[in-house]
Amino acid sequence: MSSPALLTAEQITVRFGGVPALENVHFDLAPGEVHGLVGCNGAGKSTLMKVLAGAVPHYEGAIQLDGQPVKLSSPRVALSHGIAMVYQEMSGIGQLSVAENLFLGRQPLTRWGTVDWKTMRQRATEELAQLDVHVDVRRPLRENPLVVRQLVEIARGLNSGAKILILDEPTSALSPPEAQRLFSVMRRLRDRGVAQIFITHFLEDVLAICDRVTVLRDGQNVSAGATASFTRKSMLDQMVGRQADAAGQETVEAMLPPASEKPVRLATKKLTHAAVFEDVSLTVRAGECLGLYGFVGAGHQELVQALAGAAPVDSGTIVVDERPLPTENVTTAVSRGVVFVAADRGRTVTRRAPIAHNVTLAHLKRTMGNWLTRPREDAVARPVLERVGCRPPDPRKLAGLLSGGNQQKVVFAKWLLGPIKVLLLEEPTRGMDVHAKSEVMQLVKEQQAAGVAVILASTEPELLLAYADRIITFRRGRMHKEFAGEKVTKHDLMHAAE
Amino acid sequence: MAAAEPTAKLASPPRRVDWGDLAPTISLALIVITFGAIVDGFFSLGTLSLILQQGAVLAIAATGLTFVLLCAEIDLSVGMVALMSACLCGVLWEQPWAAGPKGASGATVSIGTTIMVIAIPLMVAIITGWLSGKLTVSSGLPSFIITLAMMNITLGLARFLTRSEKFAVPTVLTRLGNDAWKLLGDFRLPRSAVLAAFVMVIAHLVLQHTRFGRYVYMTGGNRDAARLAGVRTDRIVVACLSLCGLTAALAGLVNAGRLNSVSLDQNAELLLDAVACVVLGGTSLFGGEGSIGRTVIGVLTFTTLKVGLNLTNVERLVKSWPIPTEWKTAWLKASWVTQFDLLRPFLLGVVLLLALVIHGRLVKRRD
Repeated sequence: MSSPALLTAEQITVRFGGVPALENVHFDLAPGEVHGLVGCNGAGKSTLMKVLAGAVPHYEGAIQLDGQPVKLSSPRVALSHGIAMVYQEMSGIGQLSVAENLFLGRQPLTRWGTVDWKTMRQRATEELAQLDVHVDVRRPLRENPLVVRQLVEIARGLNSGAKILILDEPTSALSPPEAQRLFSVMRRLRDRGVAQIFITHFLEDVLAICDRVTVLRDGQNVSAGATASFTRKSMLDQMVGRQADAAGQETVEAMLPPASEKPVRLATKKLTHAAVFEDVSLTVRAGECLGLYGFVGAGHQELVQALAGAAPVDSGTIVVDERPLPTENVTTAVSRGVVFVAADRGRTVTRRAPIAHNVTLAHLKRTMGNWLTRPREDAVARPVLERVGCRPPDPRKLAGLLSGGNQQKVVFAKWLLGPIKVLLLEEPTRGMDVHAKSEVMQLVKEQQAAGVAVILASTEPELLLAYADRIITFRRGRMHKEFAGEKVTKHDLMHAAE
Repeated sequence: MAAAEPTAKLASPPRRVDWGDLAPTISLALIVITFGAIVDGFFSLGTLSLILQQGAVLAIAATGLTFVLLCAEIDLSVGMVALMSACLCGVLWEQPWAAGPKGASGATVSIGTTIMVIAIPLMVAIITGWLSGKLTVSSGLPSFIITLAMMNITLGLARFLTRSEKFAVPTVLTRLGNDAWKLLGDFRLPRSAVLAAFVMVIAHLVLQHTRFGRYVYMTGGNRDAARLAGVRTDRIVVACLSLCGLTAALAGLVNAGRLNSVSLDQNAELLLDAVACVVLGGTSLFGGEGSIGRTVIGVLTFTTLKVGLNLTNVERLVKSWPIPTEWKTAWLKASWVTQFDLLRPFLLGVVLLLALVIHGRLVKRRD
């Protein structure tokens, strides 16, 4: 590379609670380049970018901007150095107009000190026109498609004087033409000299737009270089890392068992929720664990919620044990034994209530009858808490005092008090350590052995390879490929999903 | 799994004193002690009777409101629903087929008619609450807005019904509001207090021992979690608001009975007083935390404060203080002594504010 670096980060190390998320990572960025940052889940991409955006002030290492050492101690400091981040999910304030979003916190004022709406609209229209966005800037932001919202966010970053833009998974929820539109804006910005860091799961997008690529794995540098020196395959190989995995414990390949002959427990037909998941027809048999793999926003997680009745469905049918299951009705789903374990325990555990109340909630009539008393409730809750290995198995303790893994066990305990036919899991081990993970998955296996049909939706290939009997990959809301009865690797999965 | 063996070690450490939970009781004790010191003869059965009688209406209204707050909603129409129901009751009572104008022939009304005259307003209040609940869950708007509108609707109805006239109420209600059983010396147990206690006991049993009660707590504690566990949270919200309508109406009827008639100036402060009672007892405005027991403490605190302030005789208090005589004579002429009546709401507000802020901080520190 010929031009001097705009930004250099040397020996960046970040620890969360003693566990290193990044170890001695090097990263540099030249002016006016698009730099791709790739890696699997947990490789440290987001952490590295958060360091640059000032969101992780406790990093170790040295960062230089234009040759000057800087300490990025807060998002405000990062912004004042010209580093702006465009987040994947949080794209502006929906209720405010496009113009207001663009000038958030920096509205032009009249000499009376009031907001100068006319100038604001004019400048907003002009600045967006430079990015080839032509919308009515007076309309609320939420009325615009996602790509426009992202472009507004980019314009906002540029408006605040950013020289470096960090784009976190900008294309994951975009349709291909929308992604092309984003790329053309990114090229235009590159020509204007704006350096961009592009984080993505989609390697094709990296090859299409990036000048250089840095690959991270397990919090360490693997390789970096001009995009031309990579192929899709070589990038994937480096992300997955064959040698390292032989030593590591995580499963990177699995031999899927032959197709199950047991009766079909759950079948869906053309299940659709527009723009989230479309045309999903799948079956799960008793005692089988069906894995659904995809990146964030691929629709498989929303699908699992919809099966539980907890998310909307536009059309299509769900059949459980040869009887149709009404959609969008959790109560019926639960009574039919179709139960859901969410990634976010905040959605399934009432933290301010005692553990016992959380455990008996779903099957209160069956377990407690018409008159609830504390001793009887404790007697119902304690054995099942011990069975799932909740620590401590104290029914009187507030659920919010438990760790994430133990809260998830409480969710399992809740379902174990009733009949389970289909167990729907959305990233059930998110944010747990290895030990808690295996304990929770052990509970899943016990249910599976008892004849329960399991659907496991995840963005972690390792989890699916370790536990699924059959894996379907999702890509932008649609089923893409099914793996069954064959040997499958992490590589294959990621390949099929992106 | 290796779960069984370390349980003994992991058993929770000896429980520390939870000041956040105790704060309401301590406030009550402090208020009682303070008034005991500044009001002559405050510690008497007579004062207790007074507090019970004054608190009964508030306690009934606060009971329904506790349900609503527990499931993380609010009902701003409590006062006006109470007023409308009482007005409806009065208007029905003065119909020719009942007691006639001014309740003249009240003595000859049949029991069936009396029951009808009381039951219809209660039913109307339940329907009002049910409607607020339905509109809240179907519109997705906060119950704050819906019940605010309902407050005006019911006030309007009350005005229209009464044409701003005063109406008599059934004799049963006047007796319920005024009569008391003489028990010990000058301790009189007001009937209204017995009714309030009955309502609260039922409410307590429902909340602590029935599935509905549990669903109320869980709906308020984490609505998403309750929904994902199969609880029909919408129905719970509707039921709580209906219940609140019922207790509001009951409070309104008892209050009209206590005042021997119904007119538009009643129940104006009922809503805010009831909210103050529930929150003073330590029930969370954000749902899922609280109980009828706490509401009892809250009602007692609030009523004691109010009664105590009414019994406070500042002139006598100033005279009894060990301060120089010239100060005394000056102070006795000062407006804050002569016009103390006007200062009472101010003092009530200050004490309430202090208590609530201290509770809030203690709870915040605990969490």
